[in-house]
Formats: sequence, structure tokens, C-alpha cells
Amino acid sequence: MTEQAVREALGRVMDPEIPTISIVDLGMVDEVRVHAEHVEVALLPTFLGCPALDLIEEAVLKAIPSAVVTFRHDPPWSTERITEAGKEGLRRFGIAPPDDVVRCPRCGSEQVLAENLFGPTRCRAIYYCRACRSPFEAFKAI
Amino acid sequence: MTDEQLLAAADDELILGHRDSEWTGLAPHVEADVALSSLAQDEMAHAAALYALLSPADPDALACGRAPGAYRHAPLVEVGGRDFAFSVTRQYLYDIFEEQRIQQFLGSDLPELKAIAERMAREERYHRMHDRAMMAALGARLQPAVDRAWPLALGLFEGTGLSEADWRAIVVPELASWGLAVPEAQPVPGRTRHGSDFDSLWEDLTGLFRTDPSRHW
Repeated sequence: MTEQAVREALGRVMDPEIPTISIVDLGMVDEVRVHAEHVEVALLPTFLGCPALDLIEEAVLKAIPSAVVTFRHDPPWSTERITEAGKEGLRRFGIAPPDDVVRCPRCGSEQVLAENLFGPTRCRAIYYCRACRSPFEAFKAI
Repeated sequence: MTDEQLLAAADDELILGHRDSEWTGLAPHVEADVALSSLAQDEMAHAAALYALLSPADPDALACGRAPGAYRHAPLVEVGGRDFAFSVTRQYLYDIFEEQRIQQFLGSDLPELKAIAERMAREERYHRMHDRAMMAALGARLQPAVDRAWPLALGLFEGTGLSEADWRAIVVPELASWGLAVPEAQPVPGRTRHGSDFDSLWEDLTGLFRTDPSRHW
């Protein structure tokens, strides 16, 4: 397996809670090293102690059976690592990406209110769009 | 940065996280419920990362396998009961203290601790925004909670090498802006001896581990 093939396979491993963004577009892949018998995949957890890590490891092993997955905190992950394609994936799922200005993922309006800085998962906050009168979630800028 | 200080930090996070989690399903409104549950997850995850740093081979045993007297958290975080005003006030006073502690970690020469602290710092920013919004919304009604939490909060500093004066310089004027006065009080120390509230918390927290230490926490 070439490194590029590994990265392409990782690009098809989706976040277990947000199926429209891959772990590559989330910026979780820190390093890929191809060896004769196995492939080392070093991932950066998004949040400390994120409960989805076991599921992500399982999904990587399903995509690349010879993978040895490790998690490291250095360098620390941050939302700046999310790619443009990743931000589009977040919007498609109804989540505003972590930009300086929070816009409604449905209508694009900036007329939004933060309803709760905490949400259904540790990485999301709850907003309300005054333009299209819909509640939505926003990825925290962390 | 000593191991004892790191352990105190991990224990503070674990015990506060446990208390926050007790509001799940019971907080006065749904937003507070979601927030306290997320705060609990964050604090416990920070605790887990610090325990793993202190004891890479068996962090669970460090977190759940000690006798009550070996825990090093401050008395503020172990207080139990259904006093929502106290919980809100405690979280605010603690999170401002924690901001300083994270700065201390960032200045350490352990690269792994610095990396963990960097992640903590980004998550904690949301805690403080939330805490301040809650404190501002509840305002002067929190005075009894401030009176109760204040001496306990002063006890956070014991053995940490952190500056109570720097913390006061932030919290005293902010509390005043929300109509809250700070009482005259002596700190309640107690990182090495705990009150009766901790006995039942410890039973609850370590029950599974004591039943079967091989279970994954």
C-alpha cells in the first residue's frame, strides 16, 4: 500500500457522529508511515478524551486492516485543521463550521443568537437563526 | 511542577466533573442540564489525560483505586447537594482559578503536559464564557452562594504555587459588576483531609473499580 492509497482510504473514514466529514478533512491525521507488514496511522483526538475514539479506530481498521492506530496529543488538534471540504461537509449536516463569524448553515444569515455554548456533543454549541427562525448547531472554535 | 501538584489538578477535575454530572437530568432548565453535563465530560476528560500522564500503565487505578484520604482535591469541589446557585458560583470561581493553572502547565518543560494544557485551554474558554453568562443572568441572587463558596474557593490555592492575588484581581471586580460582594473569610484548606460529603462521593465514584478492577473505567 502506498502512502497516497492509505490517505485516500482514510479520506473515506467518516466521523462517527458527523457522517458528512472524514477524519482527513477534520484534520485528525497527523502522520502515515507505510512499513512492509503494516501501516502506522497517528491520529490527533479532537477533544481530550473524546468518547468516539474507539469507534474511529475501529473504522480505520475496517478501511485498512493492516493499520496500527495511535493517538497523540502533540501537536494539539485545533479547529484550524479542518479543511474547506470539511467545512462544507459540516454545513451539509446542518452544523455551522468554526469560522470567526457564525452563519446559519441553512440560509447563510449572520443574524444568529448563541442559545447555549454547550450542545449534543462536546464539540458543538446551539444557535438560533433569526432570519429563517431555525435552531442549529455550530462547531466550537477550539 | 511537582507530581503532587499534577495529582491535585487531576483530582480537582475528577471530583468537580463528578459533581457536575450529578445535575444530568435534574438541572432547573434544559440548557443548564446540557451545559453541566458537557462541563462534566470536559473536566473528567482533562482528569483522565492528567492521570494518564502521571501513571501511563494504569491511569484507572490512580483515578479510582486510592483510599479516600489519598485524594488531593480541594474542599470546594467535593461539596454535594442540590444547590444550583452554589454549583454555578463554584464553577465560575473554579474556572478562573483553572485558567491560571493551565498557564502554569503551559510554562512547564514537559512537552506532553504542554500539549494537554493547550487542548484544555481551548476548551476552557467556553467554560468561562458560559460561567460569566450564568453569573450575569443570576446576579445578586447568587449572594448566599458566593458567601458559602468563597472560603472554600480560597482553599483551592493550597500547595499549588498559584497566586490568590491574581485570581482576586479578576473575580472580585467581576462579582461586583454582577452585584455580588465578597465576604471576609479565611481559606478552608483540606487537600489532604476531606469532609463527609466526600465519603459518599468516593463510594459512588470508585464502586465499579472496587468491585472489579479489571473493568475498563
